Amino acid sequence: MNDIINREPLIVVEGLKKYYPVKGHVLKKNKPVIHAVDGVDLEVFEGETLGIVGESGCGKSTIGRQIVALERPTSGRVLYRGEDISHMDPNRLRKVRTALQMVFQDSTSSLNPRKQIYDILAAPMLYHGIVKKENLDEEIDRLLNLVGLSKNMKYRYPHEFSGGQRQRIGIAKALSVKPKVIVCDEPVSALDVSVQAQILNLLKELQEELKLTYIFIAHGLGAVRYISDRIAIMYLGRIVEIADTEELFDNPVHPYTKALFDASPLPEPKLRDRQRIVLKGEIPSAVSPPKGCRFHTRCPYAIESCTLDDPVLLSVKPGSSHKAACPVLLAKGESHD
Amino acid sequence: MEPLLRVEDLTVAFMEDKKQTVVVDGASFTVNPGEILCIVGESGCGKSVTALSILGLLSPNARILKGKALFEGQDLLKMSEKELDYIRGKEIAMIFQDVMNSLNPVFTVGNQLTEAIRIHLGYDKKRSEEYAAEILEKVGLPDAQAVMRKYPHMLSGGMQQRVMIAMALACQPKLIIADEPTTALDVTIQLQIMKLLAKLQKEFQMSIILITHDLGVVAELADRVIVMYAGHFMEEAPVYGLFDKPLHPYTRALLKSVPSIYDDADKKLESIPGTVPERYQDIKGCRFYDRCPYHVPLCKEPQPYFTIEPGHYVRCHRAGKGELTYE
Repeated sequence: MNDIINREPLIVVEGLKKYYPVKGHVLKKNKPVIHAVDGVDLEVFEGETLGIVGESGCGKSTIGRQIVALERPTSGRVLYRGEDISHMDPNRLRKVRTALQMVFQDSTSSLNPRKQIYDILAAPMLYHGIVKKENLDEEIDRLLNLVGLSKNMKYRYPHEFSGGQRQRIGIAKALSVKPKVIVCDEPVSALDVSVQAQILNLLKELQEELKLTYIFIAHGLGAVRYISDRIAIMYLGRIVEIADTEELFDNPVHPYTKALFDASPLPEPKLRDRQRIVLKGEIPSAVSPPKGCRFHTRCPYAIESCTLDDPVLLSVKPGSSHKAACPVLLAKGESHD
Repeated sequence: MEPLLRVEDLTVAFMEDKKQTVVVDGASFTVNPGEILCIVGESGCGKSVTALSILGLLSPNARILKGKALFEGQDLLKMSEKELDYIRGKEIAMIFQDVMNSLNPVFTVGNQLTEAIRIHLGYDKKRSEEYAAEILEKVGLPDAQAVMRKYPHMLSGGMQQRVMIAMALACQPKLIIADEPTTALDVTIQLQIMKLLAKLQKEFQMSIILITHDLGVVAELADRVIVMYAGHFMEEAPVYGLFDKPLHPYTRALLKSVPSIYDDADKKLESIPGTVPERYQDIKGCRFYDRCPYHVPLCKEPQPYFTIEPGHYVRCHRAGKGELTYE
């Protein structure tokens, strides 16, 4: 993936912030807000898969929704091929949106239960004028075939399918408008392992065949590692580390990344007593995230300056695309332990 | 060693419009004192139903068709509700995945925790509160007094699960049944809870039946493992044996389909083709037949449960006769 450095990014996320009001508190003057995403810069290159990993509430799904322009950011912007889609007028956005599609975790609630698969797939294509009416049948058969479903299934309803099959329909629906980028928001988290592998392999094959760009959001490290070229680790609305997949797993720098790797259960009982970081305490509230480094309340390496200074992403080595937001460990040069 | 719990030929069905669907088919297993037994399988394989039927916690449309569950010699399946009330909580406790729905939202944590202690151990109010605080500290909630005054919704998911574990521990049961206790938690919290369960299990010399779909959790905690598929036990083995030398094609496929953070970068995940059969009670032969790459005509016949060595069993005539050597 070294050649991507010289390429123009397909998507650029600049200074992205997204705050949500906390429910209630209608009469308070300073209404509390959830800092879901709090200053994120990111580039996504054509043809790559960028994994975004983090625990619940870290803002990974929120970034995904901004990238497909389902929501407007509080500040900052998202550029697709240089165009600002965060502040685009609705008519233009409708055209651009066909390039940016999303696959959701919950395939049950993202497919209309009253519609047959045929109609679910036909609606976006007709709306965006992707196919002519006379070619519709053929196109739907092609889509179903592409995601590994039989064309005889097109007159069935979503509830007649298993979870894995429904996720295939979700993918077919996203593909129906010929997108360039697909944001996959926890697409396999709700599936059994044997089916997870089917869907992950399908996504990989489709990427190769259709030259797609993926943003793959998940909390399961195994799946993310399997599919991603690069990975960004998030904690409380910020990216704490980003690197090429192999580099990140060989040489994690940020203490949170290390803790996350350590916490990920391994299917290998011999390793159960391995040395590892067990984080104390819970993830702090995103309503009032800790000052300084947001991770300092749980960090085993925290020193006094961590409670004061807000760390920025810095290259691990000069010129490296591996970046981490931990001045303490970077200064120690502990990256190669 | 006399087992703490011996389940024999447990068969459970759900009734729907007078039709019965068998979901657990002839399950037999034992739980020894002081061990963690994991039952692992994919959704709908019957693992939770197996556990729930031991405590008489099945939904009204479920029927136990046959079988025994001998806990210290007494058959739990033949007990009246009143007799079970004495066992539940006191001798055998349960931890659920869905903590939010298992704690009562209108009572404080202290209230719910001391209730069990007063009923089962007969402590008075003051003593039960002191004891509750002690247990909360044991499960890693040091500010016990403050936690006891809170309502469940005021706690995070991880803290709720700790409270659930405290409630399960309160009467120092001999057996804890934990149904997906860490599935709803984030990984860093999951690790905390797994470490806690392992520590407490040793400290209190309890037995645990852990129900999970996650082979990672199995590898971290189990002493022995049962692999379940479509209502059948497919393989049973000590944890090291199972991961080192899986015999049943399903066990092997399951292990191969878990993406691990230590895999080679270009390894392709092996998925299992197809899906779990519906209405599997009508399948006479091996229930994994359609998805198994090793099937032969004999697999269409009922599969006996082969003993490979004491403690290692497999329901596959090919693996049982040593015909399958992988790689």
